[in-house]
Amino acid sequence: MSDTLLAALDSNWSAADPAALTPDHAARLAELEQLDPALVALYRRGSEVLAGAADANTLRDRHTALLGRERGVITLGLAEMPRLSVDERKVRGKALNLVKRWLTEVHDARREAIALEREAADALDVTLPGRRGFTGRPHVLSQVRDDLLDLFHGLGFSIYTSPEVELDEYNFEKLNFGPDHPARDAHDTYFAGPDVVLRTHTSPGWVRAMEERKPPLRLVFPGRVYRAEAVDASHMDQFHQIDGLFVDRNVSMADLKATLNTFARAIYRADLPTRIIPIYFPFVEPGVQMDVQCVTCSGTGHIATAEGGKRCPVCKGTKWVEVLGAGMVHPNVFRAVGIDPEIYTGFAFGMGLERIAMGRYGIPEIRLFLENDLRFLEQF
Amino acid sequence: MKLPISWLRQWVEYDATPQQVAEALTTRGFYVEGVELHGRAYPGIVVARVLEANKHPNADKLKLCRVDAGGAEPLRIVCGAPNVAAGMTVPLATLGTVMPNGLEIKRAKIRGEESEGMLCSARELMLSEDHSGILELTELFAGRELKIGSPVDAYFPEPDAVLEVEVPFNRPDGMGVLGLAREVKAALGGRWTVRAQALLGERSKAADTFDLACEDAEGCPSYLAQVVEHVTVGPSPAWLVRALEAMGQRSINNIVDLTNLVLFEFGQPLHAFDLAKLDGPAIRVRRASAGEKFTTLDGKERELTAEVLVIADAKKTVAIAGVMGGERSEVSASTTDILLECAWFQPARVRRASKALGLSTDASKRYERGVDPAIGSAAAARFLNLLLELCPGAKLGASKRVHAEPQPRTLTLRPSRATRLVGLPFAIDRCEELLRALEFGVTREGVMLKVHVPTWRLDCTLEDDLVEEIARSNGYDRIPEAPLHTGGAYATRTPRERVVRRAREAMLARGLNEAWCGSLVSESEATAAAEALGDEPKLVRLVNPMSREGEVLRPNLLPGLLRACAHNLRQGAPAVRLFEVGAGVLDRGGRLPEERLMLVALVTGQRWKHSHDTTGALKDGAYDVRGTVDFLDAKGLWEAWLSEMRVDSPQWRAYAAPGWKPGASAEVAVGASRIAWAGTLGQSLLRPYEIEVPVHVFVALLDPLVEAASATPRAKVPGRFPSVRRDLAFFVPRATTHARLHECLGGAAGEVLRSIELFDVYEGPGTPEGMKSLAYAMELQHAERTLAESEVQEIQARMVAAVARDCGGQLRER
Repeated sequence: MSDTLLAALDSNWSAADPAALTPDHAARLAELEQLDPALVALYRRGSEVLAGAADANTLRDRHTALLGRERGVITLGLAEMPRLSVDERKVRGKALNLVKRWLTEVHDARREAIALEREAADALDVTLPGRRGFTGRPHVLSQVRDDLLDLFHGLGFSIYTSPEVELDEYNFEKLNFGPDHPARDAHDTYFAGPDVVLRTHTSPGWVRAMEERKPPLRLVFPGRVYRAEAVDASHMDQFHQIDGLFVDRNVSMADLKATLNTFARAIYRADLPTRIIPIYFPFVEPGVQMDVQCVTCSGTGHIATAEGGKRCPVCKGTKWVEVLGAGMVHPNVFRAVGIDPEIYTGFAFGMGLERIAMGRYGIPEIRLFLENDLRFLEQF
Repeated sequence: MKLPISWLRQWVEYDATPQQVAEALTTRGFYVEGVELHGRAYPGIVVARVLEANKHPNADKLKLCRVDAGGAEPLRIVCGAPNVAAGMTVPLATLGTVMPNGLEIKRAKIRGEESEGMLCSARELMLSEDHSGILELTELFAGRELKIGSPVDAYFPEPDAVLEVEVPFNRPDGMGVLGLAREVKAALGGRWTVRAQALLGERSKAADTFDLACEDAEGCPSYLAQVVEHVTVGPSPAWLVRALEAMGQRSINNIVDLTNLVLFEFGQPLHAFDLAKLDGPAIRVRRASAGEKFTTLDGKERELTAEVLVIADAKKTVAIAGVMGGERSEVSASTTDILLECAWFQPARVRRASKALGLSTDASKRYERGVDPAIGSAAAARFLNLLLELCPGAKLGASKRVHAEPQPRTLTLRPSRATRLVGLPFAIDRCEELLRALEFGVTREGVMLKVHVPTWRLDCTLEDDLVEEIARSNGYDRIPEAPLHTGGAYATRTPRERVVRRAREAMLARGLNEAWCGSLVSESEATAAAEALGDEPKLVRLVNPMSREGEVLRPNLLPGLLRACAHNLRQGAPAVRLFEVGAGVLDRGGRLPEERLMLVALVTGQRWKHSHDTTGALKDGAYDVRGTVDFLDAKGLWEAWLSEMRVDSPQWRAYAAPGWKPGASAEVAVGASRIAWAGTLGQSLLRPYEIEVPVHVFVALLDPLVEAASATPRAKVPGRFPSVRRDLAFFVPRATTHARLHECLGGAAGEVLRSIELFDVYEGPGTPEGMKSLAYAMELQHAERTLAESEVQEIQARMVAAVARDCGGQLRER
């Protein structure tokens, strides 16, 4: 019986030890020996050729030969059953089903093993770089500006934009710089016409906002400003400021101080010492300058060097670094826009984006900002 | 303005270190930028006597000396100076001394002979440039007893701390030591020295014996002319030279030095004329004649305008009032008689003259900000007294003064105003105390103060100016912090701000870096950029540009991005992807130019940041992931951006203008308005930047997008019935655009068309002559039921018919 069935299997088929696939292989052979010794050789050979199939196609062919529904060896074996006695049929039937189940198990185990081998062979070098698109970065000055605008937004300050090309009237006169005011010297001005300038600060925005709207006003004025200066590592003829303005019935320097300190804590460091000192700007009275402690020398005025120390090059030994100018809106500015300084008071401040960015990121040259070198832009 | 502590101490008695003075001035609004030491100390250098100076046994030019430096044994010193000789008293740098130039003196063998120190020249002590020989101390300290072995520091004046003070524009009084001394006095509770009181009490007396006339009384309300006869012009004494050196002013001669001394002390400019060079002698203060030529004492000839106030004699101009004297009447070595001018000129007039002539001097800087109109008499007296001291033979001659008393200014201060502005309660007593400390006159009037402003405080014209005096004297550090109350107010963002933010974010998401480019460009760059957008190049030009590269404002953002692109390509960047949001500026005839908000983007170079071939050679016609960005890659970016900006069905149309590559540029319209341009740039725009690779750009105006982007969309429920997909290819004449065919198909399909996507463009074997094939995938879906096959067939038939009718095309059969 077994021999005729065995003849259906190609004798050249590669064989392997199925014990590697089914750990109870020996026990099965023993059980079959007891039950129906005629099928031992079939199971032995069948399991060996299944275990020995090298690839999925071979395995499929052998599966068909052994377990195929139409012409498989087991099916053939079952087809011979009617010729047997009732008792023989009982045993043979049971044994054939056992062999079928066991061979199926061997087959499935081998199929799984082949699949695993195949996947292992297809393994990728996962360290290869991916096909990567470009990422866009916001400009470093945008990031600083947005940080500031977000902070002031939270404090209730909305944005107001005003022209970069501005009338002298707004850039100077209504900000209390008369035509012969010596403080005009501090503003090296680009002129685009007899009364037209490239704004030298973002403060003309206050005048426009106050002419256009009624107090109370809480506004910030971000934008580009211009000074007719030769360009070098620390000077640009174009840079960026944010002014702020708060006008209401009883605004005081105490409100200003709190606002400036909130700014310093948020933008610099929560525990960085600050101070405010008097300064002169024509458009505020009293005028305020805010300094933060020099970060380079930690407020000592000196830095350590191999020769035993020298004066701090950043604060020049003063221990403080100026960060912004501010003050109470000058009554003449209020009068110029038709606001009664007896009813309203207000504070204003102005700061430079580049200065903050240079301090925060350790950027050594102001020229880098408008050069747009990708190697620079992509760092932030 | 420099403030040497040695000068300050002559005016004010106070108890503080230079650092404390600096701190006090800074916190009162006179920012001290630094404290420098003037003069030197020489630790380790002692007075020594040369006992013997013998020839060095092994060197012709060296001498071997035995030097008494006060120790038990004489020292052996090798010296190369030609003048060293026995008997000289010299500075000796002992072993271990660090010289002013940083050199450390060590025990050394020079040509085999031990040397235990170094004898010093004047240059080695940084006293002068003299390096001709060893310094003879008995000459330097003539008349003083020098003790051998004592430090030379004992004979040099102590180094003087000099404060570098930034004087605010509104405080011209701070441009004299007197003014700074007043601040220090108020800050530190000091008092005037006896000497200061004497100097401030002096008044020059004037007769009516000189021919002086102020023809322009508005420009010159006050003028003192004083003749001094028989002066001897010569070098200044050492104390004066040193005092001026501390101020950073080099010595010229005794007369000029004295005018400078008084300028720095009182902030009052003085001018001395050589009397012999004055015709008359007479002084006339008047306007210059227009076009008049005049040579100032810096030797430059200058053309004057009628605006300029001049000092003239009986015949000619001799000085520009408040700015600079003339070359011809300058005091020289041969001068015997001088005329001293001590005047007060109208600040605005001096400023205009200084601006017109481009000439800024120590005098003009003070006059244009405002000299104390009452200080002239004391300043002139100081000058004359010192001059008579320095030139014992001199005597005062003719004089005359024209003088308009300065108008006293009285202001009212409400302590309540100070309290309200500063946010800190100020009692009336405190206000009075603080103002009095600054020498304001104060009288009480109920709850208010009448404040008499001192003559030198030209800045105080309003009550709030007094509030500042109180606030800063009291100290800004005492101002409390009052956290802001919103009072119900909140910040808002305008639709325009939102559009700008979204525009940036949508471009960042496409993998473009944000650039910030300069606004000032050259005229040729600006003209080319304006023409590319079809703008009449009415550029906004600077009157006073710093360079040709920055002479006009950018009409749009193309020039800046092209500069940035060129820069990055030069640096070897394999891809440049940049955009900027900003304003283009063009003159449109208004009082101010138009600032048009736009986004401009630029891409060039490789398609992917990184990509490598994993499939072997690319098949012919396949999309090369390693290739460079082309028109359609770029257009895909711009389309995605427009979609993010909620631009509904933008229409792309061919566009031609200078600067673009012919046939590779488009304009984008929504309805009737053009909102953007896109395409590949042409050689005329690229060549000036030396860019030789294809560059694709996109220019979008942001204002037209505000409405679309701020619209609130209405929700639509997605269809739930199965959709049908049909792929149809058409042959159409080559000139038929995708847009035309797309529109035609869409119109024919009707409202069941859910999407229509082009998936193939083909022209080659099998295409009829003059035709091309465009293939579309269409998805049809009915909102309320499943489409029947017959309906689909009907729609397809409509589409085929429409293409035949409208585009002259036909279905491409399989």
